[in-house]
Amino acid sequence: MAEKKKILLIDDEKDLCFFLKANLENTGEFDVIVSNRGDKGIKLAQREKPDLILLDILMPEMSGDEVAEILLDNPATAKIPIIFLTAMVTKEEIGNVVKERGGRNFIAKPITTEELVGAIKKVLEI
Amino acid sequence: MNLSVQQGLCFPKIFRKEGFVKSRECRSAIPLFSIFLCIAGGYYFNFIAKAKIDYADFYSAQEFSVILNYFSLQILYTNLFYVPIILAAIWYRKIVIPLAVLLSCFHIYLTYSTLGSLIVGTIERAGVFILLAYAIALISEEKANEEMNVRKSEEKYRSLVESTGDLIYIVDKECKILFVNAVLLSQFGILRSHVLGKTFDLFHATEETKNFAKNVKKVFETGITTDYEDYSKKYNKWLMRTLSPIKEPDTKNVIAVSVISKNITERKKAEEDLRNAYNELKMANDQLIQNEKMAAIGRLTSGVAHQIRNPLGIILMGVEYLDNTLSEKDEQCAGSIKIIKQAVGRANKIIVDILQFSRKTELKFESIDLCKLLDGTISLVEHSEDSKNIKIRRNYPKEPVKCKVDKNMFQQVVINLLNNAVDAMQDGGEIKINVFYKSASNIGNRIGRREDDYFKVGDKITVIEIEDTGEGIPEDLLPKIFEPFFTTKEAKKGTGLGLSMAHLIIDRHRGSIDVESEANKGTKFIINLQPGNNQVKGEQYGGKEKNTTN
Repeated sequence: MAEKKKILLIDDEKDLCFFLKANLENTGEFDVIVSNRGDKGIKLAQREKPDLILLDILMPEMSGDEVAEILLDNPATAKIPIIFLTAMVTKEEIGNVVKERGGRNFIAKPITTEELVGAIKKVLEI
Repeated sequence: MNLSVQQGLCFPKIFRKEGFVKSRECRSAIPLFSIFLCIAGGYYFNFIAKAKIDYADFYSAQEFSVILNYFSLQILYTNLFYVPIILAAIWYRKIVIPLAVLLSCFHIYLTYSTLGSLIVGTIERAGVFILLAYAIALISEEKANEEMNVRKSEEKYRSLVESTGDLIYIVDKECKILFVNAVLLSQFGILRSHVLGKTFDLFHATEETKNFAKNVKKVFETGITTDYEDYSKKYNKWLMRTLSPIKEPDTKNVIAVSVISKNITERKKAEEDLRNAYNELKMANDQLIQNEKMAAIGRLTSGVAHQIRNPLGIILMGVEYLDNTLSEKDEQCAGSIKIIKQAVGRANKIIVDILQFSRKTELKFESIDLCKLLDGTISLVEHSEDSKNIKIRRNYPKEPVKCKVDKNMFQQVVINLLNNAVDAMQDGGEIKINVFYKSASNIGNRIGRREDDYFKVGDKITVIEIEDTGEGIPEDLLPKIFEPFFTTKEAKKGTGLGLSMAHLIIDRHRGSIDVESEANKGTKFIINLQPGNNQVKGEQYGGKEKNTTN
């Protein structure tokens, strides 16, 4: 069995984080670490070096947009792929950094575990 | 009238001088002459009586009578001489009046001598005639003045009637023209004699005559003024006719009807223009309100949708978590979880629709063959389970119909319309799809002269008609069908956004979508689009966006 992938989930919705972590870990393919704040998430990313980051865009204090900018600016975390989780759909509503540098990995909430796993696997190319 | 003229000629001009009767001298002359008449009369009879007594001793009664007769004849002859005196007195009454007063005073002194009595008697008699003549003159003068006033007022009314710009005429019960003013002569170049005595129908169309006769009859019956507006086909004019009764002064019976015919063509034209402008404005206003309403709903729902999506995410994940963790799942539990998941999916579908509806995405216009696109879209609907009893008939032009549209968006419109048609024909039927060109002709429906009208009169428009033979839409619901969230379908089947989406999308193509429907016969949606060679200006509610193909 392949090594479990380490996934960092940064989202201010604690309930969602709880279920998402449980459901993802339930597949047996991922280890999920969770942060409910952007700044803590950045530190966690630098420390834990996850294989992938699931990042919510609309968060209080520090938005996903800002978090992504810091992560991309830091050589230690710049290479980590990011999937943006969002309740928004339109491009206008998504920050510039995400648009310009964050790639095209968006997932609109609500999402089933199956869809999420599919998206993660696609990004990680496994 | 003729009488007054004659009288005016008989009397010196001074009697017709305006205000004479009212003048101070005249007013003071009347009581003075009355006094004079009393005094003179009194003294005259006094003189006769005195003569009888004075000469009674010398003459018998018979002789006295002869003498008196002689005197009477003398008086008669003398009277002839009085005529010029009377006339002169009237003429120079300013001198005669004080003179008469003076004489009357002198007379009191003179009557006490015999010779004096004779002189005074003569003068007195002349005075009586003068007074009589003067009284007649005064009365005549008053009469003449009255006549003059009547004539003046008549003149005033005549000039009023003749100088007005309106056609005024009088008709009798049979609509025979009894009088007509000068306007007729100047306007139509007809002589009065050609009109008087003729009936109304000789100069007007049948319909107009009928209307006129009806109103004349009404005035004769009610005796009340009435007015009505009518279009004169013959003279190409709009007229406002005011019909008033002319009543006999004594019996108050209506004997004729006066008609004032006012030309209101200009006013009518202005009214028509105003009405058109109002309608256009109202339409533009309705459109604006509709756009504003949709934009507001879009903003609101988009905000709400975002808020709902997060909890929906939690529900979905939570249910999946339960699904994973519940070890002893019974069937009911598994069923419930499935239902919750489906409900979340449905809620999300609504949100996606709403977001799409309120989204400000740029349209990607490309020139495509509309018929090909329609065929492609039809095939998506054709094979669905619901449409198996439905026949689809296409009626396209032979050559390709090039049009600049956003392929995906336009396809969505057609799918929405086809789905509606299928839903309206549960027991099967026929969908007709017609594509043709037409020239924009009527004002309205975004066809007009203004800059922001989508089509100008004479523009070549591409028309797509999607017609079904379904149950139709009730008339009262027709104005609402393009409103967001308006639906007649059951909750699971539609959100009520399909047609408003279609409306929005077509509007952004600078086209229009309309609906015609008849209950139990079917519904027809008509899409008017700019032809392919026209530059399509991408326009968005609340702002403009660039055309991506240019």
